[in-house]
Amino acid sequence: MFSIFEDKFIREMRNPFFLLLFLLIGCSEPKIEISRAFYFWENDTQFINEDEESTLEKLKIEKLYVKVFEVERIDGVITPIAKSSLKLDLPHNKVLKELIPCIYIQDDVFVKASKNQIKELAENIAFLAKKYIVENIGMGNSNFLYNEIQIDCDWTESSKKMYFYFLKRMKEESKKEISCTLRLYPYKFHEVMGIPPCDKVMLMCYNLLNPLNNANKNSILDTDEMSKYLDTDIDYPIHIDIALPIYSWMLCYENERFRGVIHGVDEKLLSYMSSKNDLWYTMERDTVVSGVYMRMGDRVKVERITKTQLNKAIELIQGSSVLKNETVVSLFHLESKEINNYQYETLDSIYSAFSR
Amino acid sequence: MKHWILFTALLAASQTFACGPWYPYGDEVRFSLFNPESFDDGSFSPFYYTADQFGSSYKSTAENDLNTKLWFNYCKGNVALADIFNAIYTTSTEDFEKKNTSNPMITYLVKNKLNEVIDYIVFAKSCSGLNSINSAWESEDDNAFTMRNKKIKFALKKSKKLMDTQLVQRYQFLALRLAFYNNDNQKLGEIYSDYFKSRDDKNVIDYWALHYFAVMSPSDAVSNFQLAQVFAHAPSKRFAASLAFNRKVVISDVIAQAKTNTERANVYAMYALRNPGKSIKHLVQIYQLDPNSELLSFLVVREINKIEDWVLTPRYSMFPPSMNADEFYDRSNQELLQKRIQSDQEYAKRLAEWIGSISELKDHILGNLGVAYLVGISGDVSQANELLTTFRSKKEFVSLHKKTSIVFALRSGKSYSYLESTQNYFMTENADPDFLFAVGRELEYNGAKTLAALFFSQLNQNENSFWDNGIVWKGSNHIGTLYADFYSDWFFYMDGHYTAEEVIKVIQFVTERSNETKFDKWLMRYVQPNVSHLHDLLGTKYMRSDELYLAIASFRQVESGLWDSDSYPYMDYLDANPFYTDFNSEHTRTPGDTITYTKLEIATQLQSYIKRAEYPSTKNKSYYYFQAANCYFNMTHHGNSWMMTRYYWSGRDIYSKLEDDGNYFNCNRAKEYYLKAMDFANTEDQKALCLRMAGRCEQYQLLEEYSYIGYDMPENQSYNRLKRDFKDNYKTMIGKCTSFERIYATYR
Repeated sequence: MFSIFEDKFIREMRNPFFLLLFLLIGCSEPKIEISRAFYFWENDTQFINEDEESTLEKLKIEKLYVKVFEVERIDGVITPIAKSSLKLDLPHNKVLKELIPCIYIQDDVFVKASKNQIKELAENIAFLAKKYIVENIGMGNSNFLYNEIQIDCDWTESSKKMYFYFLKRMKEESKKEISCTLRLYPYKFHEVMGIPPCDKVMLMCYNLLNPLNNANKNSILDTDEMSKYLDTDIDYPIHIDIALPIYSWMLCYENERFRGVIHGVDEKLLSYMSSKNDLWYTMERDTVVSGVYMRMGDRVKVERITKTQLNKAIELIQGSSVLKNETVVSLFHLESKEINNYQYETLDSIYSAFSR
Repeated sequence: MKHWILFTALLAASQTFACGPWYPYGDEVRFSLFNPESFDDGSFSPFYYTADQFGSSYKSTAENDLNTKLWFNYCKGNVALADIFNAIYTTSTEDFEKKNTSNPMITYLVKNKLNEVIDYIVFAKSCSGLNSINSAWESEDDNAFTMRNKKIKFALKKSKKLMDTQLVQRYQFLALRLAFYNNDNQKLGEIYSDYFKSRDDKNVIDYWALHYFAVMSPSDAVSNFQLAQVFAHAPSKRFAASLAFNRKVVISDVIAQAKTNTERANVYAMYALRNPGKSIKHLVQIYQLDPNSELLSFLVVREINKIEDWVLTPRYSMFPPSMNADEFYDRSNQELLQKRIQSDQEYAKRLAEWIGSISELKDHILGNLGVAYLVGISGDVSQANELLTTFRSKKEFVSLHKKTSIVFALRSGKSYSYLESTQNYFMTENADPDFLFAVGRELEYNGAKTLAALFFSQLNQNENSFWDNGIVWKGSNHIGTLYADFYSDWFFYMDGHYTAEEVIKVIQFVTERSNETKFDKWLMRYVQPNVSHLHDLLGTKYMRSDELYLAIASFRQVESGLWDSDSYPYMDYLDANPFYTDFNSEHTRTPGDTITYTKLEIATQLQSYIKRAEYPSTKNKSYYYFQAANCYFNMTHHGNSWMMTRYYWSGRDIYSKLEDDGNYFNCNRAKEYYLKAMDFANTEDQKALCLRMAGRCEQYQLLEEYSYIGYDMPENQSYNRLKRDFKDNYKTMIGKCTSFERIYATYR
């Protein structure tokens, strides 16, 4: 079935100049330079472990996006929380070049904030991000570049105006490149959601579905859902980098009611459960996990990402208009419990697949 | 008549929930007799078992504050704990500077020429304003930063000059704390290393210093170990230590840091501290390592509280345990819930056996009362009753001992005379609502429903305290009011769960009892003044079962004025003409609303219409049946006099499972009477009108039965018949409202 975009494509094909250009492009497949990256999202981990260190080296990771803190409104006051404890001591790693501090900001911070508050927020974040990424995490090691700050916020129409003002202020206050995360919804519906005024965006190719509303789907990565958002010919005006998931979680339910999430797949817990399919498990005995009292009969939805899902996601991205030239591909996230679920070759192929 | 029904109508006398939809949850439904506050000095209060994140906040008192005790010893016991507590935490710096001798501690210090102590306290008080992190954004506040640095220097200098070792330690601690709030980890580390790390004979100040050092340090096995020791030795730092403790660190790594068994026991306690599940494994380990651990008895009480919740919350309130509170629990989960309760009862037995085996707890309240209670919870009530008679409790636990004994005695079948003999435990000003409720439930389970109702009537009488310690519960047959599937009021519980005969017994108890005792008066204090409400309830129940003679007899017992009083929303919800309706009107004003009736008048008039209709010589039988049918219709969910059969009206009918739901929602009785009216109608128009009204009733039935489940709705047979047999009338009957008035007028 033809879409309106296909109609437009056919019309433009009739233009001789367009045809020539098309043929030229068709003759030499564009080569995309990939910069390999990882996210590190833990608050209370002080040192990365051997497996994580080895992954960075073996996969030749050049950039590490580190969540340095989060920002919330607490009793009405805009406050940084969940500050990173990380100290990155990697004397043998010659590949990792750049640390990018990431700051997750709750959307409601921007709702009802005044311009003065936003200005002050940008000053504070610029100060604290530098302090953490250079002094604490980078341990004053000047070998690591600090060129960019990434802001992670799921903005809405009601917070858009102030959020975009904040991004501009961040640029002024920090004098760094400013990037922000972009979910697939605001990517496709940019006319409604706006284009964030920053240097580049990181397209988060996961978490498209509400995990609580889609019982029979993997809410972390559902490629059918993903294809709906990438099936567009929009020419996004800002450079796009790509983030893909390699994480897992266990969503715990009691009597069909959501009780909590356990990050990562706890194999011990899994051994206490029986399963009728790949997604849903039932507790066969009582136990406590991450402070949650799981009782016999409780149900758990286990969501993980397979190599096949990742390959399909990459295909979809490659078949879309997202990739342009030099692109950062970042995996979420660096944690031995997660990366050990994959063979080295699988992780390596995720990056190399983009260069093909 | 007004547009009175918006969504839910409430009886004015009932518990109202002004903040909108509220469903009891967590601690609101949790049952507990073993109040943990009775077992410690309040220093563990944030960690009491609760469905919330934490229990109540720690309250420092003269009795539990170790700093006060330290000063008490310093003053050689010459100043009372309360005076010291007051002096160090409340008395102003100015009073110390001026040596105001009205304070006993200052008097003592002045008298004994302890000026250095006064100087120290003045200095310490001057530091307290600096005990906050600069800013969450870590931007340096130059002024505070500089002030703290000056004070650190001063304190360390002082500590080097003084000979008094306690003052020296206190100055060193202040310097360390100032370094912490200055975010000066290096300085803090130096002070800790120089003055605290190697000190023998540690007091609470050492553990305060360890706390700041551990919080500043990386979160790992070492800091976890340190925080565990802080938790054990410094009550005022327990909450902060527990927050900083990283439960992701593997326990064996933390245990490896310990040198003594007491230290190891303290580590296990940290992992048991906020465990919402079964902790017996850690309790056993703590006991084996440190049989006299202060933490052990606290953790045992916490374990008892968990088992109370898991087993007794479902038994009494019929809600799931508070930690797992879920409003959607229904019959399909009962089997699973029972399976869990059974396993929890087995756990109660196991815990009881273990506590019973501990020699150190043999004469302790937990070793006797705790064990007996757990045995009872496990289901072995006769053994629990036997155990409860084998020991005497200390004064502070006598009440708990008695309450436990009463509950288990009732479980073994005791009733009125036993209750009367133990009346003093109920008839107190602040009787424990959970206890009264448990008594009511046990009586109900024993079949003593009259007494049970009287105990339920004692609950939630104080609206102000309802939100703190109110009781909410469900019924065993899943009947609810139309407002909710739970109860907080004895009257509505009786409405749903007492038969007419059982209501009569309650009425008889409160009206016919001769030689009322003090206990009787207490029992009946809330029901006796409301006996008219019970007659009203009885009449309402008879209306539901269509026993009009009995309903009328009951309504006749209702005191005049009840339906007009503020405690009854009759004037708002029952002020329409029940004998009039038309094709569409439900709760809106109709031409018939020129007259209103009381409940008694409605029942009497209805009875009169039916009698006249059934009297052989009555000529206009159809009219009387039609009037009765109108009334039956209006007494349903869809009519203007629903309050004849219900106390709540709701747009949703999910909670009601009363015996006449078929009639209340489906209008069965009204349809039956409209069809009788048709059989005796004198004209074709009247016949068509009756069939049209029967069709209206049938339509409600179809909507009720088919609209929610998505099946194709069958055709309305009455309307089909109307179309078939009264072709000429069909269109006007279905399409024109005015035809009702035209034909109805022909009856008169």
